[in-house]
Amino acid sequence: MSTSQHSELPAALRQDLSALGGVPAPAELWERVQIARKLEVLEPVAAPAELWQRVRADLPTPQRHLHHPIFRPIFWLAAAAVLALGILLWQPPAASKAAHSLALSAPVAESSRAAFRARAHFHQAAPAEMSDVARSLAGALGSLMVEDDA
Amino acid sequence: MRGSPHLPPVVLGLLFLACGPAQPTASSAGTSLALSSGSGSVSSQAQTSGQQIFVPEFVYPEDQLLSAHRDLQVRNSSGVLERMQEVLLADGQGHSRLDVIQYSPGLMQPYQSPSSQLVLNYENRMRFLIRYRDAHLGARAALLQNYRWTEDPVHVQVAGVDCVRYTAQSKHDMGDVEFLADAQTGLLLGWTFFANNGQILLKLETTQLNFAPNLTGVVWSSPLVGDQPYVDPADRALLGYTPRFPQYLPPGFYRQESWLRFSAGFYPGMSDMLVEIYSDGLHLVFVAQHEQTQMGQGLQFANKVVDVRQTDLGGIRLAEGDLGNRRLYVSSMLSMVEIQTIFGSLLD
Repeated sequence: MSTSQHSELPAALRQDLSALGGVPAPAELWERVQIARKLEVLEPVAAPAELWQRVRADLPTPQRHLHHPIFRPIFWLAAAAVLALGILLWQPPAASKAAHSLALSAPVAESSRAAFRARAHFHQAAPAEMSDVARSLAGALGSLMVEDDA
Repeated sequence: MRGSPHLPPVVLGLLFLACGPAQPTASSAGTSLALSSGSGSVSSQAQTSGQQIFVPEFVYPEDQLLSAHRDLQVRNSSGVLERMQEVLLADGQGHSRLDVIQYSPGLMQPYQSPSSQLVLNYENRMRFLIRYRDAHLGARAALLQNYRWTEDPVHVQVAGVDCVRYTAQSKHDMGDVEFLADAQTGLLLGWTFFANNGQILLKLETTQLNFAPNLTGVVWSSPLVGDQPYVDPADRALLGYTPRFPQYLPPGFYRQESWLRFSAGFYPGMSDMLVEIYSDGLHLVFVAQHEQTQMGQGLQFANKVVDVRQTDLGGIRLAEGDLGNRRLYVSSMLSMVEIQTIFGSLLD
C-alpha cells in the first residue's frame, strides 16, 4: 500500500469528517498514524537463529505428562482386568443367539422332584413283566428285547 | 514410572489371555477329560489331555450312499455287555436299512448266527434304531449348554479311516458321550454312551465301509404303524384325548419331537399313541401315552396314587403305569430316579 493511497480517503469519510466542523483531533492521533505507517513499510525480518534455543531453555520441563493416569500401573491393571472379564463373559454371537432361541429346562429343587416321585408307587419288575408296547419303546432306544436277552 | 517393578501391560494382558475363556475355543488349553487313544476300550474316567472345542458337526452314515459293518455293544438286564454285528445300508437319498448278522452273548465269546427272533426284532425296529438309538447331535444350544466338548489330539483308525475322537462331558451328570468321526469328512463312524458312573451303556464302532454298495433288491425300512408329527392342541381331536405332559424335565432338556402314532387296534383296546421325545442334545427321553379300553394288570382309578412298574434293560430304563384308562410310559438312558421324577410329573 502506497503513501498516496493513504491520502485518498473515501468520499463518504471525508464528508463525515467535514461535517465535524472545528472539532480538534485527539493529541495522540498523529503519533498513532505515524506508527502504523512505519509498521506497514517494514520488510519481513528473520528471527535470530539462537532465539528458539534460548526460549526453549527457559520453558518448564513437561513433567505433567508422566502424571497422567494413563501412565499409572493401576490404569493398566484395571484395563487388563476389564479385558479379561470381557473375554470370560464373551460368547460367540451364533451360540448366544441359538442359546436364546431354545427353552431348556432349568434345574428343579430336590424337594419338588421328590414331590413328583411321591405321586406314584414305583416297584421293580422283571423285563418280561413289562408290556409289549413298553418294551418296544425301550427297544427303539436300543435296549435288548426280552427275547434277545434270553 | 521408569524402573517400575510392575509387569508391562502387554505381558499382563497376555497372562489373562492365557487363562483362557469360559467358553471353549479351538485353540484354548484343554481340560483333563476322559479321552484315550487307540481303538481299544475307552473309559470316561481316563485322564489325558484333550483340546476344548466348540460343538463338532457330523455327517451321519444313513444320509450317505454306503454299506457299513458295525460292532454294537449293548448292556443287557443282567449287566453283561452283549455284542452284535450289524450292516447298515443307505442310498444317500433318505432310505436306509439295518440288519443284524452276528450275535455274541459276551465280549469274550465268539460271534454266532443271530436267533430268528433277534433278526425279526431288528426288522421291526430298524427305523427307530437308526433314528433314535444311533447317536445324533440335537439342538446346538443344548449341546453347548449341557456339555463340555473336547477333541483328542491323537487320531485313531476306524474301518481304515483316520478319525477324530470327541468327548461330550455332561454338565448335569447325565453321562458322557464319545464320538469317532472321519477327520476329513465328519462322517460319524462310532459312538459310546456312558452311564454317569463311567460304565459303558451302548457302544457302536464301524468295522468296514463301502461307498459303492450294490443296493439292488434292497427293501428299505418302512414304518409298521403310520405316524405323523403331532401339534398340540390342534391335533387333539385327531388324537382323541387330552394328552398329559410332563411338568418336570431334567435340567437342560427340551421337547425335540412329538409324534402321533396310529396304533389304534395294534394291541387289543389300544388307542392311537402320542410319543413325545425330549432331548438334552444327546440323551433322549421317550414319554408315551395312549388310551386303553381293556385294562389289564395294574388297573388304577383316576386321581389315585398310581402303581408304576419299572425295569432296567441294561442301558435303557423303563417305567409304565396306568392312570384311569390312560397308560403312560417313560423310557430313557437316564437314571431311574430321573425317570421316576418325569413319570410322577405326568400325574396330577
